[in-house]
Amino acid sequence: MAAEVPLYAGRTAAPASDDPEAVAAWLASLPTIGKRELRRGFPKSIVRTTCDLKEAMQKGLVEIIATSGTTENRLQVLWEWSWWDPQEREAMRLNPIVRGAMAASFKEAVLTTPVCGGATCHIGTLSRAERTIDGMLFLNQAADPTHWTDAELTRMLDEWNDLGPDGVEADPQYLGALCRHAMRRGVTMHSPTFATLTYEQTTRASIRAMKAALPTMGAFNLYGATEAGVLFMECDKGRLHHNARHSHVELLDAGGGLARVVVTTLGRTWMPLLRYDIGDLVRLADGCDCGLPDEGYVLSRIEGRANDAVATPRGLFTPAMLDDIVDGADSALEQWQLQGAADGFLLHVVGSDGVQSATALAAALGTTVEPRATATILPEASGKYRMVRPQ
Amino acid sequence: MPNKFKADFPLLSRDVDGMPITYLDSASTTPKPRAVIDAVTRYYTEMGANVHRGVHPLGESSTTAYERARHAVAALIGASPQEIVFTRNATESFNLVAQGLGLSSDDEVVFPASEHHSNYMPWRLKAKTVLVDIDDEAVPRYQQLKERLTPRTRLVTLAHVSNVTGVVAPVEEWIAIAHAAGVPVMVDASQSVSHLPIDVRKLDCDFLAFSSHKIFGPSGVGVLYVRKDRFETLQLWNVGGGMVNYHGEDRYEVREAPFRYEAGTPNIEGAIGLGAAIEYVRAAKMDDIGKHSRALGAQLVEGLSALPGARVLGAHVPSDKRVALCTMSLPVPSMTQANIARLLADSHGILVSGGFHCAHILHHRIQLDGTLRASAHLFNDEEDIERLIGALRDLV
Ligand SMILES: Cc1ncc(COP(=O)(O)O)c(C=O)c1O
Ligand SMILES: [Zn+2]
Repeated sequence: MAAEVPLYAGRTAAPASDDPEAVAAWLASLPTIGKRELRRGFPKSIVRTTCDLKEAMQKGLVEIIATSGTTENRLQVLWEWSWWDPQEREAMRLNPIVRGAMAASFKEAVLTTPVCGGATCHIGTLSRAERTIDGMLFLNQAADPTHWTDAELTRMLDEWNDLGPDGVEADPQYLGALCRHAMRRGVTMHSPTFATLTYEQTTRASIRAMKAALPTMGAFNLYGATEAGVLFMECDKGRLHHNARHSHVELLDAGGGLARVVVTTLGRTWMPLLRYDIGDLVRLADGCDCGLPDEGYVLSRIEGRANDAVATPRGLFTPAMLDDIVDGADSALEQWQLQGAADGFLLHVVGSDGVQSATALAAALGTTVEPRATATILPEASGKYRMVRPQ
Repeated sequence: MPNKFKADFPLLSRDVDGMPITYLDSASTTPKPRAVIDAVTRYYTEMGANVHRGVHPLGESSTTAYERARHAVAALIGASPQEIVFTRNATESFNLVAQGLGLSSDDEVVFPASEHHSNYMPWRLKAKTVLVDIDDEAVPRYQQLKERLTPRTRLVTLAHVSNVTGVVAPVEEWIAIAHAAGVPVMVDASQSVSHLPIDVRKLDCDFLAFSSHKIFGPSGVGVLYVRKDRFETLQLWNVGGGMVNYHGEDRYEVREAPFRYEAGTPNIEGAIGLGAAIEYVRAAKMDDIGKHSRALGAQLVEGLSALPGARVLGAHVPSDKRVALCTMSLPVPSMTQANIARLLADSHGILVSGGFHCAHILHHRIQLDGTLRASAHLFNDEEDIERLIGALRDLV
């Protein structure tokens, strides 16, 4: 493939054999790419010279979609349903609880960033029928969940309960907010069998809200990216298993038990990725006893975006490690965001005064951390929350 | 010990005619700290794009910075960002409510006779104004509120802190009384927001307004807080771009609040500057600012009252019920109060306000032909006030 995709021109060709060691050695000899490389020259640079993108788009085989939002993370992606769907389903089926629920009559709801970002596509409010696509009900219509009105939250709860989904695909922060709203209102939520948590880092506070409102639901992280596919699925033992048939993953040692995720996609016609550094940090587990075949890496958890990790003389603190400290000190908090300041940090906290968390964090990081109680935290333009942001 | 905030304000290091300035006019507008100036500049040098319509990275950073400012405002006053409408200034916030409530000429709006024109004229134009009287020192006779309420009362409004007397009004009590009669309350926080911690949930007010430029932010940005459930009662007023979700020939659909009240390109850099200003006051700690303000207020009242013949407004109000703002009339033969203010500036570099402070009715009622107002803030210290008092003592 390397020879056919302009972005990879000049890379040495893959070894003739499938021998894993030969493949690994070959990959290790190649440079990694990041989002910046994917943005530049898109889409031509990432399409095989033997493929006709225009024709494929006219036929509806591929479409261009935008993902994420902070300046350094924005990306457009060639989206290929025929590749995405099977690999996503297959990843989900790695988990026995999810697999069991995905029967023929399976009802699914989606609670993530909206189908349409309102302000840019100007379609106005959509009816429930218009938001039901391939049997999946897309609940959210607001680009910024902090602007969900009570009426909007109530509409989503009503639709949720009316549909009675078996499975939900959710942004953990969004689902956490909906659960909290239900608890506050004293509304009982229909409990799906499972939720796959995706799009962004799952926080302890989101999980706590889900446990409170949906005590019998299984919540599992489904880790991937729009540009790279679904890479890992959490099993019922809380570990993440590689979706090995659709991607080759390298975990590059980042020290302290952490690793960066580098992906090479398999079997993808459009936008094939060759050593793409997704920009996240993960922690490797020493296997898992859940009974899944040992096909690839097993992770103990996703640690969050490498750019958002805080480097201190005491070592690197990933967003997940920060969450352990911040949330571990105060179980009343609902959301937090750490902001760099002239000296030390500001800790914005929703649901609490943040004093205990700031104290704990200051002790751990060895810097000053000033608490800032706030009613809401602003998501990025993409609708995703950032756990750590610069000054 | 030198005031630790003074160095943050580049303006304060300039001179007039070779004299260093003593800025005692923050009630008129506050100087801007470096952090605010930098935030505004950063918008021009690093973002520069319009908001809410951006698909390119600069548009996204402008939008995020602008919305972050809305969050900062909300966090400062204990509101949610959905409840914060950006306007041009406090005045526009009052006009928005006056127009949005759809008042008619026999609807009644109750407020003290001492209010700033900005919290007076909009009601005068749209409805019937019902005044609560003020005493000889221009302090409202707050206990009159109950008797002013009638079945035709549509709104009660009042300044949290008077821009003339510096006196803190018993807003919680007024709100309780008005609410008991089913009447919503609007609070003018223009003079209080930078001096006192405000929590709109505790206050339980329905609307609240202030201007960015009085809390160390840029001019041209104002805030209107609307309690979530009150948006239903507010009609659209300014319409245009940015406030519709869908616009077809058959129908249109407006965006949710607060965006539906923000037609047209807003003062993006101003809002971003306001966000930085709020961060600045929060870092300085509202409680500490409040303590400092009360101390300087007490010093002003005491020092100015001791001047021969001085008539200090609201002097009888205890110092824990006022901020660092004091207004008086000083009898100097053949000089108006505005003349005195000019003289303080020209021969001492002391900057205060002289005149009517946009409160003509107040001055008519207490029969004063203008007053002199000194207002201090976190960057002022006792010496600034002593300098003012010394200069005035020389004069009389
Ligand atoms: C109490 C009070 N209300 C309202 C205003 C009006 O503010 P702006 O002119 O910024 O609209 C002022 C400003 O002087 C004020 O002091
Ligand atoms: Zn497992």
